[in-house]
Amino acid sequence: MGNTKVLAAVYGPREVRSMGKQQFDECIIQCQMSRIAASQGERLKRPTDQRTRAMSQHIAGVFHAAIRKSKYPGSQIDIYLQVLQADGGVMSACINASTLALIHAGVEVVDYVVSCTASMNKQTPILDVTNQETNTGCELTTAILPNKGSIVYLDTAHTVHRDQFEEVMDLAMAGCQQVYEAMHREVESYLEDKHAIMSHR
Amino acid sequence: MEIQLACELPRVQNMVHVQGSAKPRLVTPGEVIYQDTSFMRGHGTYMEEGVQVASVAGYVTRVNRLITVTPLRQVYQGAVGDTIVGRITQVQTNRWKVDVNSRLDAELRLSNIQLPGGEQRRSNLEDERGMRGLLREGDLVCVEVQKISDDGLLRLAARSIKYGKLSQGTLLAVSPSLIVQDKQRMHDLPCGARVVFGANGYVYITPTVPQEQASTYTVNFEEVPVDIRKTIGRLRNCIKLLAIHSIMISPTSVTSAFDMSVEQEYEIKDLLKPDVMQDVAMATVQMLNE
Repeated sequence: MGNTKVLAAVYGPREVRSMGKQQFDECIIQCQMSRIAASQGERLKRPTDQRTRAMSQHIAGVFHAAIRKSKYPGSQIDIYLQVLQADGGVMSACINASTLALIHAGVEVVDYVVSCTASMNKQTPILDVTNQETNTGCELTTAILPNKGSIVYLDTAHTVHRDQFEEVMDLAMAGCQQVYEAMHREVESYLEDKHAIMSHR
Repeated sequence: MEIQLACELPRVQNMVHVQGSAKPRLVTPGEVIYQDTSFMRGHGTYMEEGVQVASVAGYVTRVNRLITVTPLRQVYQGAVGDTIVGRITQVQTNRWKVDVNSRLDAELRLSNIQLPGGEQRRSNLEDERGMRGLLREGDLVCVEVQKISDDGLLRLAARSIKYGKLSQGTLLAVSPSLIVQDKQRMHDLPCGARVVFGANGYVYITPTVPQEQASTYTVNFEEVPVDIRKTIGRLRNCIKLLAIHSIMISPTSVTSAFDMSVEQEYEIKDLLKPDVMQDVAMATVQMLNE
């Protein structure tokens, strides 16, 4: 999304690796996110820190709402994310990338999870903000299930005025729909390509 | 030295033309399949507010009133009677845990293998103690799915001369949906190697061995001649390139890809380059079409 680039990989569902975490009626979801040292303006000392750990937790939480966990009792699904370039909307890009990776892996999900950011610059609301644009205003990140119309994640960095919130939120939701359309198109064309080759003997 | 950037493969479009009008319906998660409630919901679908919704991206199949959506890639689901290849991950009391590219590690009981010496011998305490001597962690086995328990755990069996520990060779993991369903899983290819197409997507390539000593629990450490090693390497790269281009993997497609790569005089290591891969894959598809 813009200058933000993220790599996502999904492993599983597979046997739970760490003892004692296994659940007998559903699967566990683990997420690990790291940033490469040159992903931002300032060089990062280490790939994972307090912030990426918190974000990983949030992403795992988002996918708890989307993955049909009861289909995979006693298993674990791992999501690995690597931020290559960060320029605003890192969380959104991570969520979108993980959704596509999960669909590609054939994991059963209730719906796509699509995410988008929005902000307010003076009086004009702006969509899909860059790093620079967040310096002056807020950064509202939301993730929705587009076919269900439910919000699974909502976060604001910096303050947003109460009167402006509705407007920014509406814009972010509209952005999510756009992201959904783009993702849906891509998944469909991928399906058509692959299915044509695979049904061919 | 040659350096290439790892980049996204160019999409091979119009590589095949789908014949016939029976094009199945393709759906993505969250998409409504049927508004009708009279259908039964199968794998890859769920009911919500009276409509049937897909939960994976794949094609819709309908058998009478049962609707299922099959994704193009997924972990191995298991079916009774499948011949599969697996790797031992744990040795427990009375049983081994086997990684079979599935949702859970499968289980191979001591009583379900053919013990060395004696056809129908009961296993005793001695055998239980010597389990690690038969199969230890990291060993590869070729087994059959005997039963699927309620929670989806696969129970394996190796009660025939065909099955057992795999000795020298190379393992390659591909997507299980790419393996052509076939009765016969072990093939002695004309190029001089034996290939085991595990239904779980694990493909194992070994030098051809005489049938009598095919399956024992001892490993043969005899040195394999260089030309057979080369053949195995070439086969491995051929299967890899077929998998990357999502071409169904069967003895025929593997043999034609192998012949194609020999015919065009590609070196074995060159088969790992993206452009060469595409070349051979296209040629194989064409050959299969004829």
